[in-house]
Amino acid sequence: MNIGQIWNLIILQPMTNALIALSHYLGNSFGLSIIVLTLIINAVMYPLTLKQMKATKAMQDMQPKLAELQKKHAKDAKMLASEQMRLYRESGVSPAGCLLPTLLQTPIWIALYQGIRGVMAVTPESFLNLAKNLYAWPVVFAAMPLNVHFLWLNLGSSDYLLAILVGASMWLQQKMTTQTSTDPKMAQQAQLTQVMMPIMFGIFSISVPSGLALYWVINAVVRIAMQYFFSGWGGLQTLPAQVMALIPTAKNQPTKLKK
Amino acid sequence: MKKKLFASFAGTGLALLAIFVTLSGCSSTAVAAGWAGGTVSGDSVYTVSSQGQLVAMTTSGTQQWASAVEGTAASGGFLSCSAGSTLVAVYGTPAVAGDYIYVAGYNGKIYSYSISKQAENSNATLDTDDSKPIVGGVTAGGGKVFVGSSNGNLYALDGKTLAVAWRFATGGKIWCTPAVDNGTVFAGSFDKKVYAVDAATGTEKWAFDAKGAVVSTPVVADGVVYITSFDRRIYAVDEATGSLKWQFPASGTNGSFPSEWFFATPVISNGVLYAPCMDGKVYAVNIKDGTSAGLFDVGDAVSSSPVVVAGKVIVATQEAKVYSLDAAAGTKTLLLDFRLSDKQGSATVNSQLSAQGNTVFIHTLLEDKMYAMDAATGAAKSLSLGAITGTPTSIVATTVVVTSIVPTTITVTK
Repeated sequence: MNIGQIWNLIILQPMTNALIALSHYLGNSFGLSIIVLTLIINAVMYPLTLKQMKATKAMQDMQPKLAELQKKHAKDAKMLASEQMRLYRESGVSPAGCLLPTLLQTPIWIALYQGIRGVMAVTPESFLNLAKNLYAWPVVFAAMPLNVHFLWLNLGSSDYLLAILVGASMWLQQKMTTQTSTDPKMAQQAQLTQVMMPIMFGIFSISVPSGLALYWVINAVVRIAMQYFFSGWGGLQTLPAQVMALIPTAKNQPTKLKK
Repeated sequence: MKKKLFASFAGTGLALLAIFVTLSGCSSTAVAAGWAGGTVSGDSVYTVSSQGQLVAMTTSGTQQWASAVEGTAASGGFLSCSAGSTLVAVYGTPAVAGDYIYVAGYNGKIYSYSISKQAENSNATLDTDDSKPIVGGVTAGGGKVFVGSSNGNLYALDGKTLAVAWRFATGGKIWCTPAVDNGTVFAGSFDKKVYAVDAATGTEKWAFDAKGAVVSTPVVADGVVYITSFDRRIYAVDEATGSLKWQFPASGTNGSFPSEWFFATPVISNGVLYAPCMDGKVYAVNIKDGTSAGLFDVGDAVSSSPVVVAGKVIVATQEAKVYSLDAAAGTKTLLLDFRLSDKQGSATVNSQLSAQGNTVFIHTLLEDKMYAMDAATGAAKSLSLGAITGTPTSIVATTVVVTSIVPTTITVTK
């Protein structure tokens, strides 16, 4: 048995069949099935997500102290590294604390993504491939083929409005979690990521079945809610001020030169 | 340290994005490539290659002519793997009637070719305002051609002009090739029903609830329609009324269901219906009463429709192993293993098999070859379809002789 078969057996197949069975119990609505399974997985993953959010918050809170150290030991890289490690140790913060929960969750999210993509079986080839991943459960066979119509969407085709929602929800999520860094370089890079990721996923959503885009939107909305209950609006608090700054007013309009 | 940390974060983010992009990228199942089988007419075999070429060859495996199926496949959208492709995937086996060959494209179009002119005659898009892929094949008869579409409609077209004579709406996609018998068209739908429609007028005669989607062609014989369904049952219904005669497994039976759905069209030989299943087994059922006549374990999913040669059923698995089955004798004979014999590890069979005399024609995918196999010995020779891309006069057929493995017969307990 190769790694692909092991992956299919223990991760992809349970996810695929759960999606189909849920669809059967939710009035043959594959859209609801995607939403409910995304919520269930987020609930199961909550302890890990919470750990990740706490670690990220702790890292962000340490930023001023780290900046101070960087300023103090700008010419001595060895000392800077040693002082930073000391600071991490004393604060009980581990840089890996942010990454580990993300890495642990990644296979589950990939399986959910693959499951949704496989179940929609857009082409006849993928339909045949799906047959190999089905359990011999009566509910699975009763639900197939799935009803891919949900709200205004055909979950097997791409949708422009949902692609915009993917980009917007991801941007909001990013904006909430990203705090302004004291280091201008890091702040610039963070800002770039904040904009690029939602744009990329938005564009990507135009070319994939909207069932996947629905999953991205729901996941982003759940993360926004979690983040709100954990640390409030975060970076979004400054949004009204930023928006106001963009609106031309008498004050910030360029002064016309007198002739 | 901070920079390193940021780099690791950025790296993780990019890696995750790369995983997402890769996962939804150009996997083999994300692109519609087609799996047309071969149709035998006279001394010729017609099929459509995975490169979108309608290929005519002699039954001895020499190429006669080829013509590209029009290359205007619908775009799959921005960044889609199928975007910009000029190939038209064809899943249904071409149908021949008189001088015409009919081909149904995944782009929602029907094409007719003139055999005498060796060129396209006409083409038509089924309902331009609601055009959806066509997965099944075309059935020709009585000057009309019948075809189902993923838009849920069953169509009757004029055989010459391809103008729509009538359309019949069902509640789901139609992926099966319709069957025609006694002035009635039979077609299964994703709405879990099989419809009997008047071939002349397009009005419904009856609808049978198959409790699962039906993508295989209903088989009509002696006043009975045999249906295989996604609910893992085989149904026999009266051709005139649509009333149930029997079902397999019988009602109330527990624990004897196939573990997968039926995708391929079954065949009948010597009073036995052979229904290949995606669970790697072929279910043999007595057509008289629906009782079991044998169970053949072929080891891998079967999605291609078998063919009957000299009373024996020739069936090919997806992994390209070809068996000869005989329920009366209770034997299963392995005739050919393409992956072993031709040293092609990738050969796959989803296409409908066809036969003339003792020769079986098998279109293998990925390697894209048409094999002519002797049904008794398993010896075969192949024509590489993938190499055929030019005009008919410039093509040189590549014929390779494939040595059969020694046929091994296993007696199957009924």
